[in-house]
Amino acid sequence: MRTIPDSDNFKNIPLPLSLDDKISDLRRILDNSSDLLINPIELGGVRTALVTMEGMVASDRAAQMIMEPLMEMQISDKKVTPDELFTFIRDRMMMTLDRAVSIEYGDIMRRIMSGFAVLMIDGTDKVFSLGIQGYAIRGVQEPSSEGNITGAHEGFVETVRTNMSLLRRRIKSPKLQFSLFAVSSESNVDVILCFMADRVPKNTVAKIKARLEKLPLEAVLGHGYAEPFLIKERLSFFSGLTVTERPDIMCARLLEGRIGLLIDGTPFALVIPSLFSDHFHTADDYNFRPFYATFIRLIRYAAFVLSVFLPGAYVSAAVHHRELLRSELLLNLASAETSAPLPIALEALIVLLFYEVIREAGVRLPKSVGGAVSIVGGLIIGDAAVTAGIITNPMLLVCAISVTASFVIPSLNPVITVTRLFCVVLGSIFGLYGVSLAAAAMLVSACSADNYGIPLTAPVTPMTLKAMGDTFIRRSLRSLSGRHISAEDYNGSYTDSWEE
Amino acid sequence: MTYIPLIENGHSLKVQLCSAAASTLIQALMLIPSVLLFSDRDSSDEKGGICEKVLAKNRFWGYIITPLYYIYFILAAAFSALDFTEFIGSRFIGSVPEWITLLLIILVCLYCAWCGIEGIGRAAPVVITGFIIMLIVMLCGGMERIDPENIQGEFISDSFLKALYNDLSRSSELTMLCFGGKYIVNNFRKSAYSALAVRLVCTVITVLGAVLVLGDYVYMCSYPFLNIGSTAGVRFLQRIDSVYMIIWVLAAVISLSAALYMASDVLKTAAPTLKRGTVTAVSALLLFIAALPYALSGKEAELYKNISAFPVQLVTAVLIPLIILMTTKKGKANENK
Repeated sequence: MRTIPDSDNFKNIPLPLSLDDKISDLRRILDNSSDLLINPIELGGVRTALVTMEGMVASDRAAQMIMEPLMEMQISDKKVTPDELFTFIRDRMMMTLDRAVSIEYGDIMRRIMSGFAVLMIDGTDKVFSLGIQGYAIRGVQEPSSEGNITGAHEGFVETVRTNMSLLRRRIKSPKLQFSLFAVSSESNVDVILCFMADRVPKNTVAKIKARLEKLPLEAVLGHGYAEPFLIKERLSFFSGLTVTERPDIMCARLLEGRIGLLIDGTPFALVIPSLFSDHFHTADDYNFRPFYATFIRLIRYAAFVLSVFLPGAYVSAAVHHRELLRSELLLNLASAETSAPLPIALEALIVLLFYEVIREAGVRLPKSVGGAVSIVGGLIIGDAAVTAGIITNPMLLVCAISVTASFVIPSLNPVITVTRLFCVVLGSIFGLYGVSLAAAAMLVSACSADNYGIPLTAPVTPMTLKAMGDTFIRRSLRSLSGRHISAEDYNGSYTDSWEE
Repeated sequence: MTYIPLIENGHSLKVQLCSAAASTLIQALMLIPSVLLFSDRDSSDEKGGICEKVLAKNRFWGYIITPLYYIYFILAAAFSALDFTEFIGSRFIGSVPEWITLLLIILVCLYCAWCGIEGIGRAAPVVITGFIIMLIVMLCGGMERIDPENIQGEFISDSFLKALYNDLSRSSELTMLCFGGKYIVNNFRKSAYSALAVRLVCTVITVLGAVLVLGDYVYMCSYPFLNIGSTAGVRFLQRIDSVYMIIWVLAAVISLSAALYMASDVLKTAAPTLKRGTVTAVSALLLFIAALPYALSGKEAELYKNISAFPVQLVTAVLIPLIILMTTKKGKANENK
């Protein structure tokens, strides 16, 4: 007595021999969904059917690569058995490069929905899955979130297989390995773990894979869905993972012994584990001369400090520590602030929160209207607020510097946005003491984040001297080439190995 | 790290520097039992700390010694917090009630302790580096006021002994250093002696700078290093003592968080069923309760000056590790026989 599959229970159920049973099972599983296409065809006297999903396969490729060879094939003059037909197709016909034999409904459903055509043969409990995907995909374009001047202008796309090819094109080594598997109970999204086999411990890859396979989610629609299940549960502001949209950056990370996670449906790949200094490194750094790359890096670090602490420090100096400022500067500020009707901390909060509103509006609105938002929000309202005396010029200047500085490190924007507001509030009540406490909390928070034994703040603390040549500064590639650094070198004194 | 060198009247520069060096040497000797204890670990009990070892060997003594360490860490943290609160209140934000300042720093330390000892341990070298850079910047700012004649002074042995005892009494971190051996898997000896060496360097720079820049005025200042900052300025800042306070706050948070974490670790050892978050929150609450009466009364400075940590440290940092070490060695010798 065979088990009858339905939409809730089909994954591990084996295929029946009868073609009619297979077709009726598929219809039942999909509840007669309109996009299920079943094309019956007789080959050598054996009933077969080609099953596809509407819009998921390329019709012309299906006709050329599957239908045409099948119609033209000559096995023998006499009629053949189903097993003979299966063996002939398997051994004599190529049809597509990406083909597999499936024996369970779970595998078949995943392949059909990934754009495979499934050839079912009456009398066998095996089917062919033939990769002739033809769904609409976006072409490789310049990354939208990580711009650069001199590096490659290719970014990841939503199709995971294309992303895999972008990496393979750059690292033509057999040590670069890809592990493709499906995750989540309902969406069955394809994900790929990529790593350099000689630089990453095998059990770490296995551990990450096991975590992904056990994801308690119905769907993985972006990198943010997988991220919480790959990091240690800590109260840190900082994640131990970073995201990149650039294949060249991903390749650099893989060569450092990290692991990449590509997820179908999103152009952003996760780097596991990551370092805090990753946020301050760009592809351009390695194309510029060392002195300039170092200068730009130091600017980025300074921009981070400015973006987080400048408004809070300004408010605390103006309210609690006036003795800090030189008298000329103090008089200038005092003359501006005396005419302002709002307390200085409230002014800062209004400006910073209003900036967040403008930014959010600019991001969510269509691009054609987004530009108008910044003109209305930034120029007209900002100018009117200053002219009306609601906001003072020094405060606007301080907030503008802080916000502009945060643009330098877009990947840290969530942390910067929230901690900057905290610093303003604490600075206004407790002065530099409050700002210092916020700085202490941030420092410990960053230092406590680690994943798979690699501290986020490495190689600064714990210090790995040989990696310091490519952290704050960027030494010449000639000197860096002699001192290859792998993720394993970043182990702190608190962990024995790369493992947690 | 919240340690502020006391420069008392009559203690010349020579006395200060010699007492700092002698104190470091004595502390290095006091550390020997712990160094041997934690350097001699086999892989099976790598994670075991002092309390775990005592509890494993003798539950009766374990239940006496575990609360002793817990009370020590809570009180040491409370004293440091009060001393720090007084410093912040008297020099920077007098308008805010001291109990609020105390509550705020305990909340931040609670968050840091929740983040884990690894985070606190990794943040410490960053703060130390910032501390030394800031000290050098302040000294450079006050360079024009340096007077070589300020270093003249006699070496009086009575003053030396008094300064030495002062220094040892205020080195409450020694017990933390011994207890923290369990968190350091690799080379505890190097870590422990590096910490002492860094402390000595910071003390020497602070004392030397303060005496060279301020001269005899140094004996009238509660916080001489801050007075260097008051006199030192850079182009766009009138004074940089407030900036120096940032580093001081960072140091205090690291030190208090470490004490809080260790206290919660002791509690967790005694009551393993409780969650880490719970024991840390309970310890933070006790720390606040212990410090609150003094913060409200404003008599914290008096309390801090009248209590010496040295006798307690002889027990917690020397005697207990020494007994554990001897019983461990004896046990191993019996096993070998």
